[in-house]
Amino acid sequence: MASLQLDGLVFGHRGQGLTRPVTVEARSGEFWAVLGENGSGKSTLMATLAGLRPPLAGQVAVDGVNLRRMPRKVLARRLGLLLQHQDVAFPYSVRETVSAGRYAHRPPWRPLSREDHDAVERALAETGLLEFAELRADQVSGGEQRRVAIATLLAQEPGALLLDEPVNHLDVRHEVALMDRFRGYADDGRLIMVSLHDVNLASQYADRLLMLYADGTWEAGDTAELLTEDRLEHLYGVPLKEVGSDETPFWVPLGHRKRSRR
Amino acid sequence: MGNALLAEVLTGFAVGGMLAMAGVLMQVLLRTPLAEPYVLGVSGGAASAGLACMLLGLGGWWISGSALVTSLFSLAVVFLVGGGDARVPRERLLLTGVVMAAGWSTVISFLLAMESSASVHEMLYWLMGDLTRSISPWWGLIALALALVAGWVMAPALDLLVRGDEQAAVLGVEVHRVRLVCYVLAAVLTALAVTLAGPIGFVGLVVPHLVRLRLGARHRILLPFSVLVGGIYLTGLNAIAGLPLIPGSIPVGILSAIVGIPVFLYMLQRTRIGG
Repeated sequence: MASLQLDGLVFGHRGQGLTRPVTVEARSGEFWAVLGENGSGKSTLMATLAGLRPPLAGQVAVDGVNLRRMPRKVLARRLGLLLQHQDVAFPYSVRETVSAGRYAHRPPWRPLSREDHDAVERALAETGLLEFAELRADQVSGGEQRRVAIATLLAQEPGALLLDEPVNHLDVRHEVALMDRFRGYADDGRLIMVSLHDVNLASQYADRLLMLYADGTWEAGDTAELLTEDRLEHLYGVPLKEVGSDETPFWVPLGHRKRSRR
Repeated sequence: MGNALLAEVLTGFAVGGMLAMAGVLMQVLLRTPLAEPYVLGVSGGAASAGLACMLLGLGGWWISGSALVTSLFSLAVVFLVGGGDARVPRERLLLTGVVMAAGWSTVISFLLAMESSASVHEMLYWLMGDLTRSISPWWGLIALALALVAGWVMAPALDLLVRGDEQAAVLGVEVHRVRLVCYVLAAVLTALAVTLAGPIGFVGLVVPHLVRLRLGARHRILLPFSVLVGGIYLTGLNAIAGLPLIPGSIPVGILSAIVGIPVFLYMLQRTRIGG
């Protein structure tokens, strides 16, 4: 289990900050969704939280320890990140690829232990990849490659899972299965933080939202409180209308013709 | 006669193993199976330095030391311009290597043109990759053994590094440290191989490719078998080069190119490039 503290965090590219300083605490057991339009900095935030980019100001702490001071292996046992793009240039099998998730759990000279093998098998089973385990990871479909990447993260067994657009390339069945699985992990006490394009997935699964507006402002809080028509219009630059019931609210963007009738 | 033959066989094994291992390490650093000391111009840099030392009458450690410096330089240029970054297209890497190799080739031509002594013929043979003048293979074998131990310990990290720096880092690899060790090892192995036998191309491309086809890509298997197969491969090529099939002797580097160029073109055609 792990918690994340963002303390006056400014993140961005080449010295150019994308937001005003963000101060948020994400605790174990919470499911966070990060929302924002393209270019608002969702992926940059994820990379910064995983220690791949230095903050432009402020700091990120994992369980109270500044992550810039943590050895990579220690950090990898506490916090994992699913990147949007994976590079597959060499002929590893799906099982070998997923086994890489155990790197942080063993010294380099020790082969995979029984515990490591079990974690890999669980990850393959949870992502429906057992039947593909011996195929080459560079020869399976785009959706299956995405599931291989997710299985690698699951085999890593970090306390906090950061997921950058995890459902890209997935069909609806695998999308729902995966989001259910992440919800289950949060219920079991792990911290889940997901960047999403789909506001309805956020509405269904997330307890808490971090909304990154294009003007550099941000808001964080309970999903039910933050998901309002005004805020979503501010977030995406187009009006969204709430439909469905209070129990399962659903957000529909209004196209030009609908808007003109409002 | 027996000692000379033994030295030639052991040098062939050491050089083949070193070039194969340098190839594997460069392929990790640049995330493409097409990377190789000769193709990237790293061998050319070492050969230029070695040749310059010979022309200046400097021998022994001067040749090895200057070959190491130019290997490090060449690899650094390819790395910095061609890019180890996952977002940089791989054509840029190959083109950078080709341009470096062409540059060093020009330097070699210039150095040879400046020399008028009878030793030019001998230098030309060395520049084509030649094992027949081998004297002592021991430094090469010791260096190869040490490099293999280091590579074996790093193998799990190398399996992650080929997926890109960010992926490796989030899985727990101290990326900069591992890359630095890889970079220095690849340059040292190339410099020593060139010092011992001149620039022999394509061993670092053909051998890892064959081993991956049969045994997969895991570096704990790939590295030791590439060294073993590389050693046997070059020793075998050298034996074929010594057969009295045509008048005179063929430098082993020529045979290696005859095998390696079609393999490279085949791999280039099969490899997804474009970043």
